[in-house]
Amino acid sequence: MKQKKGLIIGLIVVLVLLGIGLFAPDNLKNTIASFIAQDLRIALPLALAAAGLVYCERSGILNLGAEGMMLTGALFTWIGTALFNGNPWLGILVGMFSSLLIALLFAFLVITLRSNQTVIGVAINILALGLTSTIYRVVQSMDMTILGFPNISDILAKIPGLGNILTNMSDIGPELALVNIPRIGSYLNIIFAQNIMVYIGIIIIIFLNFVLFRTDLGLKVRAVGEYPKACDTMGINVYKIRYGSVLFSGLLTGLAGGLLVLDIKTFVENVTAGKGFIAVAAVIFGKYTPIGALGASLVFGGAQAVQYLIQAIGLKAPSDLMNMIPYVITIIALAGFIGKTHVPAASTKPYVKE
Amino acid sequence: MKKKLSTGDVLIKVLTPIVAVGVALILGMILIALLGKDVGVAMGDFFQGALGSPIRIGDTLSKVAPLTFTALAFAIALRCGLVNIGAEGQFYLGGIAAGLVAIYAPGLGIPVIGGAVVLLLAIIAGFISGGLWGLIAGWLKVSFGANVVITTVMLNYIASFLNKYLIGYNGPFYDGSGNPQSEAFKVSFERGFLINGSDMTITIVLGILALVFYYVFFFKMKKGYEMRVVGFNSTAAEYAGIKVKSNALLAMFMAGGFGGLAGVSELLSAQSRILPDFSSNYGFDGIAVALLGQLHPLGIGLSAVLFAVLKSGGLAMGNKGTISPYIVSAIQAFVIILVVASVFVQDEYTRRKLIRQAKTAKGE
Repeated sequence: MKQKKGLIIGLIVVLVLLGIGLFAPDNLKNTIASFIAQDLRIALPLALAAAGLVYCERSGILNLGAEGMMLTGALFTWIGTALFNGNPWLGILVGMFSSLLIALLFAFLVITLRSNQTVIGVAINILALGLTSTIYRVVQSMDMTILGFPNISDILAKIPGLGNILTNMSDIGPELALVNIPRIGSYLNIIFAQNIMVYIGIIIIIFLNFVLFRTDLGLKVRAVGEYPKACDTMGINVYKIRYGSVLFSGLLTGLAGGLLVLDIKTFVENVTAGKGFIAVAAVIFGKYTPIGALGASLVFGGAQAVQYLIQAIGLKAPSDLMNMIPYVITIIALAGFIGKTHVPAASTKPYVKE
Repeated sequence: MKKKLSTGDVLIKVLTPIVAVGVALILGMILIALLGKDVGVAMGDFFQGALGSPIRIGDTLSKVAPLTFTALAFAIALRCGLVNIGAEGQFYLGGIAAGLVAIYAPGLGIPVIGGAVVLLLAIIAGFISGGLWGLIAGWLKVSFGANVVITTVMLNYIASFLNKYLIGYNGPFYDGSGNPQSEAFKVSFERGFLINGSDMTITIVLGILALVFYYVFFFKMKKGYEMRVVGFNSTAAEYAGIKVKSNALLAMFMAGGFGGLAGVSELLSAQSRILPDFSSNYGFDGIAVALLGQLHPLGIGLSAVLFAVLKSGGLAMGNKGTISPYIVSAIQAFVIILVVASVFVQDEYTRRKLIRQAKTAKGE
């Protein structure tokens, strides 16, 4: 029933977008297409972080340190990319490893030492801000060449045999063969010509949704967040599942931070600017499911992409006021949807094994 | 019935923060060494900058008031069970309101009796606007159940952008100078209080008064007691007929108000006009100050002094280029983590003591 509702909403969105592609005048079409493309680009890192946090929250741990983990992942992705001559793949692995270490500290404090999750989460953020900014000032002068991830069309063009069919060569590089479709070709090309991580990210999120609701492991994660005591009696190691979930959320928030840096191709102090908290909000707004979190992230990403839309339309609005929009939308989403979702029963409650 | 503390308990309570600070400082030094900097030079810059001369000491002490106020912003809310990370935003709102009063009120024909009336107005305006900013998060919590940490963080960013807008090139309070800033304050607190030539102002007295108020309110007044009960166990409070929601709202208003006062005291003491990003992280410093002080008024006062030294010394290191002043944030985080984690040690200590007692009782 629930899934059907999501499917129907998704279908309506797709139909509306197709309708715009078919019938809207060219300049409006392109504006909307680039808005959607921006939205996807901004939303994906958020959604990946949120998908990791879904596991964390489902296991009964409120990870408010996500912001700090993301920030750490961002800095070390930047450093790692530089160390590996601009290779984004190796760079982002370095970033994910660094945020894993921060997540390990968080997990030890809140699971083993049973410390207050909220306060420790806040402390982790302050720690990460302090560490990353201090380290950044030291390595600032390093020679950095950041290339970012390749575009999907570049990758498709390289597939032997199929490359010529899937893409066309244009004067600025390969384009998706979608361009050839009459009327909506260029519209679709703007939307789908994303960097490869957007596609990988969406696949990861769908996979995580499957694992959480259709596998034994997912069931364990969810059960531990509801009735840890019963799980313990059944022979499930509550600590192990919770450690695993927190560490996993650390990996994915680090990945998200890394994607952020590879996207803007530079690091600045506090580059995440609250995105970790917005990801936590996306978990709640997305009703504690990875796919729901993706939907929520698209809403928050849209709130940020609105700035580009307004610029494209030619409206003049003070940028400082525009910058507020994502934060305001996050608050509205939180206020509007909490209480209508089921929060895991053991959320924020430390488990004491007797 | 008053719980009697054994000497062991008292010792642990007093030792915890001292050990925490010691360990945090050592971790900070290790970090400096790991980054390939000379720890000796860094420490030298640190102490020279924070305590090197009477004027330096005065400058350091001028940071005590804003730190005390932001610590109270965190502590008051936490006493009521709410984690207010929004002191930074409340600082901005309080600062903006007070700054505007200090710029525009003297021109409105309000009698300037040595600026005292204007300053009093600025303080009130700062408290109220900071309080209302805090109240937003409180209202979102009691009406919709929205997590206070997330909403206050969002409100921090919104406040910072609001400030940038107000004094920015398109903003209503831009002074037209070519830099994003407001006009200069016509009235501000007189510097050189107690120590001539330093940045110290009378706000440090206001900070001490606020601590006294905090003590009286929470430990001598019915309303404060109610608030603590709500913070301790809101279900039990509800059964006892205590209005949980109105207490939470009041707590967030007061907390925000004190956050606002932090902005007032910093802006009208150490700065001469409203600038973008005028807070320099005071809101987050307050969290560490409050937790290190174990939410106790005397503890908060002492740790505010300690953190003023840390902040001053950290800034001095930053100015000399030895290391980023953000190192102070890392040390703060270590302090918070150590203090919070020490609860586990205390619990274990009590548990072992009980087991030991039970065993001796059995043996007899």
